[in-house]
Amino acid sequence: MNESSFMKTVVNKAYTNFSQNPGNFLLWSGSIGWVASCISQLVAIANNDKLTGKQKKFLIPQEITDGVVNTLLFAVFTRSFTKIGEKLVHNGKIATKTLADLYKTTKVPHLGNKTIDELIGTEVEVDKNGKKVKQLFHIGDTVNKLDPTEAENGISKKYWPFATGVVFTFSTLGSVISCDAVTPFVRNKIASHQQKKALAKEQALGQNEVKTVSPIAPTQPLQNPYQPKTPLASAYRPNGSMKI
Amino acid sequence: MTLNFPIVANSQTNGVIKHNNSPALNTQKQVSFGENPKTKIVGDFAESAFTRLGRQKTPFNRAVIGFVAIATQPWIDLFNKDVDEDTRKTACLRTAAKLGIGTATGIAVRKFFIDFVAPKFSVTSDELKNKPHKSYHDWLKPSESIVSTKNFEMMKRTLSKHREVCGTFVAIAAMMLTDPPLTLLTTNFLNKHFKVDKSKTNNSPKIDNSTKGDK
Repeated sequence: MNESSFMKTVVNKAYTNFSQNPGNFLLWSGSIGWVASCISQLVAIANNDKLTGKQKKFLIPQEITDGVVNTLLFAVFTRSFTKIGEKLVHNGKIATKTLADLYKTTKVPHLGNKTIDELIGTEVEVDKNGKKVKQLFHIGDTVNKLDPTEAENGISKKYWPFATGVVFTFSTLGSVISCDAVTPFVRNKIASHQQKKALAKEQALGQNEVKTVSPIAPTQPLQNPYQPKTPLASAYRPNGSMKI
Repeated sequence: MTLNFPIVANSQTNGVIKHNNSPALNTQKQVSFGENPKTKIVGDFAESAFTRLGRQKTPFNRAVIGFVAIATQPWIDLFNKDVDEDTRKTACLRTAAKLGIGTATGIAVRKFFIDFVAPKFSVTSDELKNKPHKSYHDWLKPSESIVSTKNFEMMKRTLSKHREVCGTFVAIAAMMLTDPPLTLLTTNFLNKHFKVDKSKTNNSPKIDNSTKGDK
């Protein structure tokens, strides 16, 4: 395959952004999954012969709203939890006993030959009130830049399985809370609100048409030749059940 | 404005040492890892659990979301006060069935594309083990110019993850093609086996949102 093709560009971007960042990958794969689910539901609704055009006109905007809300909730919750997991492990807030010992012995040549233990928590950016706003030292980046022999034999083998596990756990927790706790309630509320609006609109439409029905039965001769002929009121009673 | 930092180092400052000769006015140094009282060292069980979870892939992630959904969402429908009792029971069974089918499909398709399809078009298992390998199509393989080969452990890890990434995205794209007919088949199956007795209903609207996001 030609190295400069569009496909290769996409594959390289996926490698750079997702393969080296598992939290980012779970976030994007889940969000794209929600969008894909919404699109396939829209296609299913559009091609469903059992639904009328009127029902489709209601269902399609509802499905789009649903998809947007679901995707946003998923992205917000998963991103937040992933960030917490990343900060905990890459800023040295949690570690295993083995890692704690390795941090004290592993030296970083490109940062003044200090140990990781000495470098953790250093160079913190603070605001004018002295409150910490950003951690500048990142353990994962430092481990990746270590000498391959040092990394292979020591810290890399211990650090990355633990770091990946922590980030994966927090990402999964965020996506479970979003998909299984928050989203069903929000979806039900929105769907219930939209259905009530639609039912109220249908009922109002039905009442308006009831008012325009002539009180004169169709079999009797019309007194006003310009009064239009209309069927009985019962024919305009709206159907209360909505299939979704 | 000049900021003067006195030299202080005790437990009351939560391990923060302030230097008055700091090269930048807006940076501070903190005590190192071993002395920071806020740092938590996890036990052996937690270490083992996190390490095992780190080896899992997206089918496991999908399974966790799906099984928790099966354990919770049918109960939400069962206790939904907006509809009558018969509709609640039917909705609960339909939700459980839809979630079961959606979860099983999601896991199976992801596993198929990650374990069988992606290795044919991306990095092979022999390449990951640094063994002589049979070459396949390299449509999903990253360019050599961006893969760092200095650290073999890191390269092996990232290329293995890349295989999972490509397999997952291709699986999602494939499910977009299979989902509409599968949704139709599932809906027809459920309508046939889990019918609501309309004589017992009160014509109130039925809310059925159980299968969204089941990719």
